[in-house]
Amino acid sequence: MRLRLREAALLIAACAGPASRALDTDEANTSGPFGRAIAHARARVVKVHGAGYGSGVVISEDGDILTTASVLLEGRSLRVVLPDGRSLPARVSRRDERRQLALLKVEALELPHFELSSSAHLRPGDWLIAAANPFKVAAGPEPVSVSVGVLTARTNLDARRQAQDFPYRGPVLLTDVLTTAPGSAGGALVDIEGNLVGLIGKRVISKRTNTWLNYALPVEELRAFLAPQEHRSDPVAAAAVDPREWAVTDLGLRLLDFGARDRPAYVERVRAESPASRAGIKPNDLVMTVNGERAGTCAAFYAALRKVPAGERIRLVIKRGEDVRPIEIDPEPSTP
Amino acid sequence: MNRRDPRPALCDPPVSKRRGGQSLAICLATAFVAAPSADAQATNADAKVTRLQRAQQTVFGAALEAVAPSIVKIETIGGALPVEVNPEGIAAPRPARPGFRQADGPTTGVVWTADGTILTSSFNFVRDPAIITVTLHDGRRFVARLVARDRPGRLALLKIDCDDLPVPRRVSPADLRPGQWALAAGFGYGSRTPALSVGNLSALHRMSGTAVQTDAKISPANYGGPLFDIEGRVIGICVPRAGDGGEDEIAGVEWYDSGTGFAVHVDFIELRLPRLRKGSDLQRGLMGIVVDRRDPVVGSPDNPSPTGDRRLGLAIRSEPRGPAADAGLRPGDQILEVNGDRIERWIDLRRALARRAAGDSLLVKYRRGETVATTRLTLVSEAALAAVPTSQPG
Repeated sequence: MRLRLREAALLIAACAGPASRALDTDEANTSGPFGRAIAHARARVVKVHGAGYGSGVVISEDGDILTTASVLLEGRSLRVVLPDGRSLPARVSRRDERRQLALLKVEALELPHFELSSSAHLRPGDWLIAAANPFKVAAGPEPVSVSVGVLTARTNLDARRQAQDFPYRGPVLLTDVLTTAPGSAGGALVDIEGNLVGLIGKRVISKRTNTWLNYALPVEELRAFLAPQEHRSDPVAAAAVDPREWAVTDLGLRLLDFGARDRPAYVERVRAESPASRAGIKPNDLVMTVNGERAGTCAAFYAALRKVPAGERIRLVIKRGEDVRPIEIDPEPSTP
Repeated sequence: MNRRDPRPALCDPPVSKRRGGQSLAICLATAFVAAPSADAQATNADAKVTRLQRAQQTVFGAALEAVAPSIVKIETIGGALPVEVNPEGIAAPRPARPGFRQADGPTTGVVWTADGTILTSSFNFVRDPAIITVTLHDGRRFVARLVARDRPGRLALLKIDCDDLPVPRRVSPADLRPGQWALAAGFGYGSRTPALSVGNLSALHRMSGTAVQTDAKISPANYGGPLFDIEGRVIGICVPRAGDGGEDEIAGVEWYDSGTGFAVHVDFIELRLPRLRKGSDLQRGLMGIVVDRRDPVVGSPDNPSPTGDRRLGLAIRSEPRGPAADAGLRPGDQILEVNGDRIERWIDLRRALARRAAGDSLLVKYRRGETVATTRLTLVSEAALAAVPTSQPG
């Protein structure tokens, strides 16, 4: 069956005319700045058309295409336009709700494709080239748009879409290439050699700055998505709380967690004979940091606490009046 | 220039983000492409291009490393967004700019003196935070004091108790040219190393002469951080649009990441520093006059000179208020000089006033009819002139 499909695809491709003819020979010229990297990337980035439009990258010679998980994939007709101009029906073969990635499959053979290697060699300031189809300006077989910038930094994503938190909170590559135009998501970010280093992510707003974020999922995360054991996300497991982690009640302190949206982490009450009281924490203390991490709000305090393994000493910095002082909380002797 | 010609294309990336020629890029190009002959092989040229680009990115990284020890991460705790009471009498967080709400992530500052002075942008303290901490490059963390703000300059000065801070090298606007590389960096995205953006200098004397303009991506991620050159010398402090937005510390954020960004340059900073260090908040200084903003029309009855040199100064249009009225200025007076600086056009006065602040004293030379006279006045803040809604000098 599969073979027959392939044959059919080849036949369609053959009937569709000289698919491999470059549309604009000047565009295919690999000389000049970034020339080879651009040509390499453009030959491996596709346009995705469904209930909307986006970009994708070819990662196997027989039609595996990576893109971002999006409502555009829900359209009744999902099509991919290859760099050689062929427009092929596509189906979603795998999804990752956490990373917001999707794997598409088209029936095609011998496609130029990206190798998924590594982004570890990149340093801040290294040139990066984005190849994608923002605003779907590239029509039909026209090559996708390229844009040049640098690697800005690496960080962990902390973002939202509209009012919703973005589920992926792992490592991302930040860039000063503008990648937030509609249609760019799913496009390639390559280095000056043309190696795929990241996949342009969905449009998100950084919660740290409240600005649109220009970023890509590093190729390591793409590999993890494709690894066999990870092909289905488990929202239940992801949401489950590690039973060994600290709970605020174990410390014996309660925060004044009431009222405004970003509530400062003021201590409301300290239980007698608790780890918090033994450490000398008093009501009205304002918690500033937990183990060196900023914890100025109640939410940040809880989040920081969750990262501390049970039974480990916790270092706080608190503000009492005008005084800023470090405080260490020793855990309760473990009770079975 | 034909971009597909491999030779001249060396300094001319053909893609959307064009980079200007710059001394170091040119010198690298010269080093790598010694006198290319017209029949140079394309592959040969490509190899050289790639080597040049590798050299460029190495230099970008080195520039960041040179300035990084002086870039600090600022974190704030507490405080609230400014509240404004709407017409129905209900207090609500002020919508800073349409569609923009101040976030509470980390921000950026730059070491300015070894004894604990940190310069940053006033944008980062709109919430009037209860606590400000500064984390140095080496990981040491201090509680900082907000010493003073320069509202029109969008600057803020912090002080920490530390006397061995690494002071960055600086470069004055006089030694800069449009088109040269300009890099910006900041901690706003929460990265461990400051996030770097690379661009050009777009213009030198923007925002009434207080700031330089760049197409590096300037945003809340690097407001308060340095704009620096390819040698790692600090050009200025990244700010939202400065100088013209009155006292609103957020004005200009709507242009973030647009390729039109600003940094208050080091000359202006040095001008403001003595007063900021003393703890004085600086506000825009107004004279209390309305002037003719139109540029001279050559050959008009007012200005018969064909060179456009009207030598008439800047005419005061309506009845002066506040300091100008107290100093005896009248409608129709032509302002000729301010503290010795010649004033011919509106932009001259605007720049002269932008360099000063409320409380500064000005010596104004003016012509009335056939006589030329001087008078002294003291600039006042916008609030002090609030009773006179039309006063918009300079």
